[in-house]
Amino acid sequence: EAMYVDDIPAPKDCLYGAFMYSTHPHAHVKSVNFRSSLASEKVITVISAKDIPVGGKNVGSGFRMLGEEALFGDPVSEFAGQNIGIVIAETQKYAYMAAKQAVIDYSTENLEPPILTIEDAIQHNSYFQTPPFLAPRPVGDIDQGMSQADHKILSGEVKLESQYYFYMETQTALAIPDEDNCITVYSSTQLPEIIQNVVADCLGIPYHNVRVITRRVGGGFGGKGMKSTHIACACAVAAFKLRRPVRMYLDRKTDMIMAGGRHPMKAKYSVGFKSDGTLTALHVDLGINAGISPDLSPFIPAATIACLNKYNWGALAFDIKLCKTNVSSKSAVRAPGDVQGSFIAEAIIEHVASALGADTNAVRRKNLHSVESLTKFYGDAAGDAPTYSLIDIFDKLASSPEYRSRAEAVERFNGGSRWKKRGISCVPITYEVALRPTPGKVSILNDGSIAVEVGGVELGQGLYTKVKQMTAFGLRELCPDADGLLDKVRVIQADTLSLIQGSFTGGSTTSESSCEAVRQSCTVLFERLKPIKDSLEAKSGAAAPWSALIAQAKMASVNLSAHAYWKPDPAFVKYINYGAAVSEVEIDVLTGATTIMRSDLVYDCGQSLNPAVDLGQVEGAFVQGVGFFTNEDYATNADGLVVNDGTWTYKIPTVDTIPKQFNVELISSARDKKRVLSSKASGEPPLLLAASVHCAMREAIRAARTDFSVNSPLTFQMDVPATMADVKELCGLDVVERHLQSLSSAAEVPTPVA
Amino acid sequence: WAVRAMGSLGKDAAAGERVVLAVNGARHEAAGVDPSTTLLEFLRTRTPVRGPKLGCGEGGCGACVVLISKYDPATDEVTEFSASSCLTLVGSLNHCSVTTSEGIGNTRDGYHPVQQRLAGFHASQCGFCTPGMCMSIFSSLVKADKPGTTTAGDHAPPPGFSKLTCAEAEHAVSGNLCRCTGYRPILDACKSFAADVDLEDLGLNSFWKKGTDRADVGKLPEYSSGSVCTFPEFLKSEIKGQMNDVPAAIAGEDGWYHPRSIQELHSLFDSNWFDENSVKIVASNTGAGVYKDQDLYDKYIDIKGIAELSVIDRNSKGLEIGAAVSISKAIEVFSDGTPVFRKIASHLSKVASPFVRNTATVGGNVIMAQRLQFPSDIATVLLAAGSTVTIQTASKMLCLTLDEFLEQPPCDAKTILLSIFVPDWGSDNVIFETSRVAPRPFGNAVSYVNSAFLARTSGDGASGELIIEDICLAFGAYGVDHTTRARKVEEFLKGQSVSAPVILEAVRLLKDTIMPSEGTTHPEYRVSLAVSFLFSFLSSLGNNQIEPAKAIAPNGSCANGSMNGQVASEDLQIRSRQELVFNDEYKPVGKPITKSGAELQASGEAVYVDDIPAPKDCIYGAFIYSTHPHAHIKGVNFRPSLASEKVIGVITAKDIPAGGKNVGAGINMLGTEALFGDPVSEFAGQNIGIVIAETQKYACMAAKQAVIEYSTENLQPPILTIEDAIRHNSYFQIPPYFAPRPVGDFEQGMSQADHKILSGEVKLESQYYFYMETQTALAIPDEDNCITVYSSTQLPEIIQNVVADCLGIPYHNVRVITRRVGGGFGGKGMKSTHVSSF
Repeated sequence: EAMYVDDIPAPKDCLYGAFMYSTHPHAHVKSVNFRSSLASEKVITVISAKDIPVGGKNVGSGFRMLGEEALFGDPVSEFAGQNIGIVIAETQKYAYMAAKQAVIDYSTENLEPPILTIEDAIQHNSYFQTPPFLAPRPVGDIDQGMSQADHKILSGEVKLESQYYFYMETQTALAIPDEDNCITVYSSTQLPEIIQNVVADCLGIPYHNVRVITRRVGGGFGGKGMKSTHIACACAVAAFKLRRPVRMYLDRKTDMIMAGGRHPMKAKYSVGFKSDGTLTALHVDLGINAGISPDLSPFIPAATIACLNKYNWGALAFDIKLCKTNVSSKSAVRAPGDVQGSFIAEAIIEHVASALGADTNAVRRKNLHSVESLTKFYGDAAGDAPTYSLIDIFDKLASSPEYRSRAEAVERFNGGSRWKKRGISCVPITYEVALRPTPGKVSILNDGSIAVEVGGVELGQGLYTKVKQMTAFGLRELCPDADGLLDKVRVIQADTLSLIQGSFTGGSTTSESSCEAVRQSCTVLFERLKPIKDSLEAKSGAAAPWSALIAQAKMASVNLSAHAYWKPDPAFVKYINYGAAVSEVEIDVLTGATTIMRSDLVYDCGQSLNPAVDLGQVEGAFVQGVGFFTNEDYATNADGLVVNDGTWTYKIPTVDTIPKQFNVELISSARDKKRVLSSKASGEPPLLLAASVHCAMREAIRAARTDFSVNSPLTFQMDVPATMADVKELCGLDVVERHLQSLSSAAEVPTPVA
Repeated sequence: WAVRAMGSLGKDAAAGERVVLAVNGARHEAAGVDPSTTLLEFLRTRTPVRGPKLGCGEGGCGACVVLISKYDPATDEVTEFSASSCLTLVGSLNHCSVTTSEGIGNTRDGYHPVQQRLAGFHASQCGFCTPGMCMSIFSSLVKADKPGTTTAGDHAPPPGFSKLTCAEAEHAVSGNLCRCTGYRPILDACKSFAADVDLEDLGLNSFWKKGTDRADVGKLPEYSSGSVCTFPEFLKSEIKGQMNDVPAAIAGEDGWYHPRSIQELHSLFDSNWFDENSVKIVASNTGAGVYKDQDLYDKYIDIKGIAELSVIDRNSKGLEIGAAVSISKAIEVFSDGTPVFRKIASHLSKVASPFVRNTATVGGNVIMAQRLQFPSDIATVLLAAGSTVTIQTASKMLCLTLDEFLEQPPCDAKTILLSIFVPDWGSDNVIFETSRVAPRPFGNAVSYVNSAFLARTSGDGASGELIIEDICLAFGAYGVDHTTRARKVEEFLKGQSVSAPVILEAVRLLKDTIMPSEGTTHPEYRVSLAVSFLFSFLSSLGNNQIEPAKAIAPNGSCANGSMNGQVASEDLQIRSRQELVFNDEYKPVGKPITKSGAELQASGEAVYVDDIPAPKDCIYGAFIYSTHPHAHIKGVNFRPSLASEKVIGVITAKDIPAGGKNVGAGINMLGTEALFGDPVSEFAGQNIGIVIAETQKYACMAAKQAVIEYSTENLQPPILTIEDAIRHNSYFQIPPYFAPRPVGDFEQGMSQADHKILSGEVKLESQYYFYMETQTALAIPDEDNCITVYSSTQLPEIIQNVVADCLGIPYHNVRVITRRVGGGFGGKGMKSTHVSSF
């Protein structure tokens, strides 16, 4: 019964749209024709750049001053997967089928060849600039750090590919034209306010003409951020032009082709370290493939470096290239940049450990920050010393007797098993989050029921649930039946004309900031209602029931609605989240298959606002991370066009690929009143913990390589994702032959295959 | 032959016989629509057009006025006229072009000067009437500026103006109701186009500052005639392309038959499906405004295309007009004739309103008078003018005097009035006067009494010694089956020279004749009016001792005659003055800016509740109301009928959810009113249940089929009046904080009086709000027991509360959205909650 955008009953005369996308990364679109077919007859019209109203502009997304992306590839298609036009038909199916009949005529005359890869971009100096205030900060003196090193690894390299959001609900919007050049857009989005702005800019109308309504999002993961604005604009332009409601709900293939996804990265590093494993300096050359438009990419370098900084590198320097390429624009995907940065750090640590022949966990432990170095790397975000919980977490997991015995068991297993190898690894994470200003509004209706509006959008992350709780908390002293209060709260849909400055939902802190805005609103209401409660109780000598209080307040003309725009304390806009995970995996050397035997996650959630919700975030994020690290192959063809464009080829985790034993512990570190009721974020950081699976796989592969005498058994790089094929390849595609050869050479004493 | 041929024609011509029409230049096909579909319903449900509004559904308010254009391929001419889209059936509009307020101007393409001026003259308040006003004004401009027409003389109007005159401008919106503005600003907007206007006379507006700036046409949004294309080329081509195709005369596509000859009509009458209960014979369907359809019809026979019914034949003997000729056309023809004809024309121009006269037929009016006792003015004036009618029955064609025709028993459905012949009386010695009294002098109101008198006199008019040679005195509408001649009075007057005693005797005799039937309202008043008419007429024939009556009756009605050179009060032009003080101390507060959204309201783009696109699967409701003031409702049944088949369900008190309550209105602690009269109806008019159907029309028609069974067993008789209530001590308590306060010591005050009046009494009756937009709501159920209600209301909060109480859900589950209200006046207060609760 829960209503998602496509569940909204279609308004009368509703039309449906489907994108036609370019399959060429850089070409003039000469014409679009339709094959003569039954489906083509269903085309009512095609909306293209020429249908953008006078005064409007060809814009499909754009975040503040970072730059925009066009809605239509016009006159030139700039990446494979770019929207060229919208086919309009009477039903969604007709629109889909008709869009498939489009034949686009391209010409590459006078155009440069496309830039598709990080290497191409570097060769052509094709970059986006990172505004200074978003640029990450180097730490210490790199030369000095290098000079202190006993050993150096120069030019190590690791690569990470993209990841698709795979929200269950694909991109969708419903635009209903209204009188006086107004328009209402129902959107499944994380940023209603930005949609409002972009749609208005696109149509050339004032922002107050655009109402964007979002009740819930059928999965966001960052993909319902900037990527949700195109479809909203597309529907809006069509609806504005045709003066009929227009709805679009992308088929999975089109969604996958246009979505963009996570930023592919390539990191080259030089690292200096002492013989005891202490790191002294790190230099990273980081190439980030941002795609065609800036989107949110200028935020990526800082996020990447912030998570890379989980270890004390001694000194840190970097050169980051935000590459502009002719591929679909990459956008924020849950833990954007963070997960890559965290992984790059692990890849380097592994490299260092293997170079030293040391236990990787020992190298990790040695290089975890002290409170001092934490402050050096994170500045104010480091917070007070008691809140730095990472060392305790790591020790609890990786320095425990249990861990040691498990590690030994793994070793024993590997000694006795030729074709299956196990690995175990513990990965710590640090994850910096920023608090953003957020509005909230609490209204008490005449029957005492409460309607709450917040800036945040419900993506499934439990934001509304926490807000509901916070409302009941904020008003608890007014109501004798404080538990009953919770049932009186309803959080209502985001509406950009009802509550402004909603900003966006992302970065893991929107729940807490929405809660805080609500708490402040409740405080205002408390102050208004307390005197009435007191006078009622003075008269009756008994606790005033909630309904009586509200009835009396109504009679007394009390303003029963309070709005607050919560702003973080300028001295506390960032804080760090901590956690660690131990994963144990078993790989099948013959097939490359990986089984996650067990994962143990410990995550510092502060004083959880709702442990059930936070647990859900931790587990869900971890499994999504497992997909990124192991199995999700968002492959493209030579033109950058996504080819793994459906469930046949793109495999996200399923019930059979999660850890066989999956343990999660939420801990609460020292209270910190600066945080919202001492809580911490939970949406994105735990995704990084999935690197433990990748690291454990590497341990297992290492065991296999040692067994089968593969070249450089210990030092090897394993990129992301590490798919079955990659695992098998790293174990040696020829392990069977190798084994048989070794049997032959010792032919006199055949050994049974284990 | 006929039946067989018809069947085959129907099939063969099926594809070509769909109704094709243009709406604001876009092609539409009315395929598959119910033949009872009105143009208004079609526009509002099958096209994006929402400008035409449903205000009354009977041609009485003008909120639905559109411009209809027809094209004659033979002459390459387009004719335009305004019409009530609520009465016009879409089936009759094949190859027509419809222009609505959106079609002449809108946000996207720019507003039309009519719309801009309505806004600029502050002529739109709630805005629900404004699109209709806009189209009435636009049609008068189109009519006035039609190339080749001669209205205010042949002179070209001054640049920027229309040929429309101020006098015509005042009549332009005479059929349109507005409840908010008081009309003055609307007239100013309309007059701003008139060639003979003095712009300085116009009222407060946003184009110039009254008193400071010079009024100048250049400051007004520019008007040029012909800037709106009322008939698109594609449709002309389509019509020309089909010129040579033999039209399927009586196709019957979608239940719509349009015979081209009387012969074809009779073949339809003879077909086995013909049943006068389910088949409606229509020319323009304006009669449905008076005699509401009591059930659905599944077949319509449109007789407007029958050639024999459209004749206009003028010769030395007189004028023959076909029964299907429109009243407007008849006025046009009569205007260009002898004094008798001109007076007929003048009287006809007060029948109904311009947009009804444009389609309503003369024959239809007369047939309503003959069959249904319609209080027709047309029958009266034609009768007095000595008209004869030609009728065609199943077996023969007859020619009768109108008098005889009206006297006959009501003719059957298959009897067709073909034409009416009005003799040309010349002008010598014939005096003809017509009169009517109605609440509105310009028309759009049925007469209390109408009359038409024709006298042939001899003698010397100058000396006043006139002898009545012959006289015909026709009276109608006073509560009589049909117009009748006051024959006894006529007999008495014949040969008389008019004097006071003669008139007195005539009056006495008249009073014996004019006997309003039982149940007629204000019978004595009507009789006195008839007397006044006769007196006015006779006094004008009499000698100079008798002062001719100026006959200015209350409510501004008067006889049709000229008033001795004086301008009759009804012809006085409306003048106005506004004195206001402007202060820019707090500007822009204090600035007389135009009402926000006024242009949008004029263009019809402003969205009222009923304009919200119906959500998918939307169903419609209509109240079934009790007609008994205090009775148990024993049962509600439906008559077997076509309309009853449309009932999807009936919602009653038992459908109120558990936890909810039977409440339809209520404010704070004052008390609530039930949504349903259950189990007892407590007043006549109380909601008993709601009929649900697939369309609003079906719901309304189906609700009419309900038969409620009452029982008054064990119930007290109803208390209906103040007196009843006092007798039974039946009172509401006024909470102390609302109670008014007496002042001083009454006894003492009385004791100080020199005089006293004891027990003086005065009474005031009720008044209806007459918001143009009737009560309306749209409720959309949502997840988790939530509901969104779009309501035209003055109190969204109370609706939220009452709806939640009624459904038994928390208030935060109810979203009530109100953007604008098409007239409130208090009526969209507590009274708007019932329809929302339902």
